[in-house]
Amino acid sequence: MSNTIPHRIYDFLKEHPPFSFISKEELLKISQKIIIIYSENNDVIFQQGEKPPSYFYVVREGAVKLFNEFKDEKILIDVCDEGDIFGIRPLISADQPYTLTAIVSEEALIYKIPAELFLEIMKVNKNVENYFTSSFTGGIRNPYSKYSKQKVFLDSQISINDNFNFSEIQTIPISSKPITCSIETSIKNAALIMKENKVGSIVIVDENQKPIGIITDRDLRNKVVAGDFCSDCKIENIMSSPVITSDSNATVADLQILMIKNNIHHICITEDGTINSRMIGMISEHDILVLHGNNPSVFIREIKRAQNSNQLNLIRISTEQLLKKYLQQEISITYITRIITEINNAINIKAIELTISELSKTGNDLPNVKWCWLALGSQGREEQLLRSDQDNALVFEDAEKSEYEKNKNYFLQLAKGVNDILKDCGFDYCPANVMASNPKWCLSLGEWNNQFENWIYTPGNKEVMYSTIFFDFQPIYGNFELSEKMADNIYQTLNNQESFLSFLAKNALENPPPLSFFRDFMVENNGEHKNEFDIKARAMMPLVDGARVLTLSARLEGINSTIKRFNKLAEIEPENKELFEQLADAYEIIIRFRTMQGLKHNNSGRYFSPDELNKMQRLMLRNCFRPIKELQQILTIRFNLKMFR
Amino acid sequence: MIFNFFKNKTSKEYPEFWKNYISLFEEKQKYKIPISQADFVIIDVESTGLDFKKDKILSIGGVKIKNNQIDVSNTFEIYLEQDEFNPDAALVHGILKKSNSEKISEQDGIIKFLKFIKNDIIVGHSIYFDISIINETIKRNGGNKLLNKSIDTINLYKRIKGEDYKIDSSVSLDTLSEEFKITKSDRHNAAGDAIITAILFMKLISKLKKRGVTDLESLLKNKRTLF
Repeated sequence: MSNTIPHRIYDFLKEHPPFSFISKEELLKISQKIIIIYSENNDVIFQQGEKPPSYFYVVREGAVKLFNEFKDEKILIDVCDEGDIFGIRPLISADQPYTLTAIVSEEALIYKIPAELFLEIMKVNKNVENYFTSSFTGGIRNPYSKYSKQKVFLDSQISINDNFNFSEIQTIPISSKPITCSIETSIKNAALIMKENKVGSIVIVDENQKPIGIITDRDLRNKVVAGDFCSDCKIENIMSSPVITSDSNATVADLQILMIKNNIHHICITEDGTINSRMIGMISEHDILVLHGNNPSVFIREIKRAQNSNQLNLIRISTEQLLKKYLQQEISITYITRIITEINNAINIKAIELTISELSKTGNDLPNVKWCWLALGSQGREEQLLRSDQDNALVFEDAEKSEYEKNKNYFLQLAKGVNDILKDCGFDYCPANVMASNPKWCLSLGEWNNQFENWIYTPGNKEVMYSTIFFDFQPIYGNFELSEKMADNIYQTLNNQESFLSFLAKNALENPPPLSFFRDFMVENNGEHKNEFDIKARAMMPLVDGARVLTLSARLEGINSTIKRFNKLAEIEPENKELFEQLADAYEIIIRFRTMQGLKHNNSGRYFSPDELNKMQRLMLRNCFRPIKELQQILTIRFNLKMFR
Repeated sequence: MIFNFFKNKTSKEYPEFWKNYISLFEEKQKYKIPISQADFVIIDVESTGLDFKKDKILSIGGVKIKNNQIDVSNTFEIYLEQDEFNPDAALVHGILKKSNSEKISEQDGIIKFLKFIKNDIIVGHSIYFDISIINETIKRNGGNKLLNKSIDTINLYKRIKGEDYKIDSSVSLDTLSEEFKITKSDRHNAAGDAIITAILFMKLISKLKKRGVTDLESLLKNKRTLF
């Protein structure tokens, strides 16, 4: 009979998850059964240890604080405001008492929702069930919904679609029958077979159809027409061998990365993915291009062809379009960062090559010593998505004093050139001058080792800060042995000075994450409010720093990305597996969110106002903060940090 | 008591629904109870105009409050068939004579209404008009004046603001909703206004509680005479 009031409640609920996942008809049914309560400040809605009633709560107006009471201490766990759900114990296990106390902190209108009705819906509505089991934490830890985290930061309306897919993770259809020939074939005959079949490549197989080598149009052009071989020569002379292979389960993404890494355009598909089994197909870069136009390997090729920083800059700008597309397609961050890192690294390499050739034009030739260009910071961790500041360094072989001066002089000039080109490509100079063109960061191997030992043995604030930047180094160009030696030295020094890690760990606690967002403000542990949220300092750095110190402590060499670090830690510490996986997820969510913000506002995406966020985004971010807090607790205990306070 | 006044009339003169209604008042009402234990019914009436003698009720909405809670499954919303139709009022309330809302006869509406409100304390914004037009309607259908105690939210507001504070006695629900930060809705109708009034009422009694008005008797005591 009465419709207006349930409709009003429905209008409110439908905007908020998990009610947004419920059909209108069912949600109206729930809306008719709701009890609206009005509560004043300091009213206790329920008490920790109390047996829950048969309903849970949604804040309609005002705010409710959730506390964990332990002895005489009351620890603020969360602040719920408009649209937040709390007291969901009756939905999880009705006979367990509340684990938290709920107290009204701002005059509130609260809806009581009958659990029974809702449980019926949860049984049949997977999205609602997922919401509770995976993304809502009521004092208990839960893994995130793998499914929703990629969706949540899209600008478009949150839509739940069970059959989302994207080409990058599809396996590629292998339709083309591979064109093959035997090793006895002459170059001319092979070319004729290619012409007949209108293909740009031919695979040389043995009697068991195992691939031995491959010839492409380019080989014919470079090695025969313009090269040293006659067309009657055996094909063996010009084929590339061994061939790069993959199995038929490889995704487009896998194949692309394989092509980029090996600088090739064709991949043989064999039965077991190695060269030791029968060939069943061939995938060319062209096939992938047909599958989806904007292609990262095209960018890499363009970068390699670029003649100046202008061209590089244009490519990097297009890369940003690709990045946007990837984020919109909800492709996994791991894949996106791999691709963008490859592109960034290629730009670095090109900048180095351009500068070397520029210098040699003035008679300034590359000295005959081992050297290596190092990426630091986010690039070093392989997680630089937007064009942030550049952080880099250079290491070169030790030499006699006179030689040393000459070498250092050259490498400083080289670095200056590279830093300038990168600046032209939109990677700003590092404001702290952590760049290879700074004489402090363009050092010989011996000097680097001394430097690192100094930081590790006398860890003041500055030394710890440098360590957090420099220890994430990654070799980009030159002799990678040098960087391996640097890493070895760090680990050896750590063995003698384990206490250094406590300083690193303490540094990782400098910025505790907030508890939650509250209206336009952040809810800090200390109750201090800010207008803008610094997602880098408050959420990313604690994760990056925490992952680094734990990886160093576990001596996990060669794992630089924060997500990979957490995943590896989850592997080696089964007792904390769940937490580390959550941390990897949290980092992925945050980096995705920051990148989206950055692309939207054309900036670093570092600062934003919480009122820009919709409810789901707030919830996702808030859920990221919880494991960060736990990470910091682990660090405190493991590195005995209570002493430091 | 008013009750005795009615009892002197022979019950034959009244229809069954009215007898049922007045029987609820046979027992002495208790007023020395905490406000949280009292039963309130918050109502709002939409009518063809503002002359309660001539105009007719188009719709009534109502919600109940006990212990600062509103049970949505026990709310009230009716639309009445009326021959008189005032286009000006329809503009305000959006109730067109031939609208889609299911309409019932005036008598059925009154019967349902009395069953709903029982002997609760009636609360409303400018409640004098609502009660007057309801009384006229009941009388037209064989009953008499309402016996419920009533509270006007405008008077509660005046009590909070103090006697010196000059208040326009026709201060609108919209104005108070804004002052008390009550979310309005575009659905401007009787049930919608009833729930807004209900929330306003809960906020007002919470403020009065802080001034020592904690039992029903003192909440009713300062009531201005309406009849």
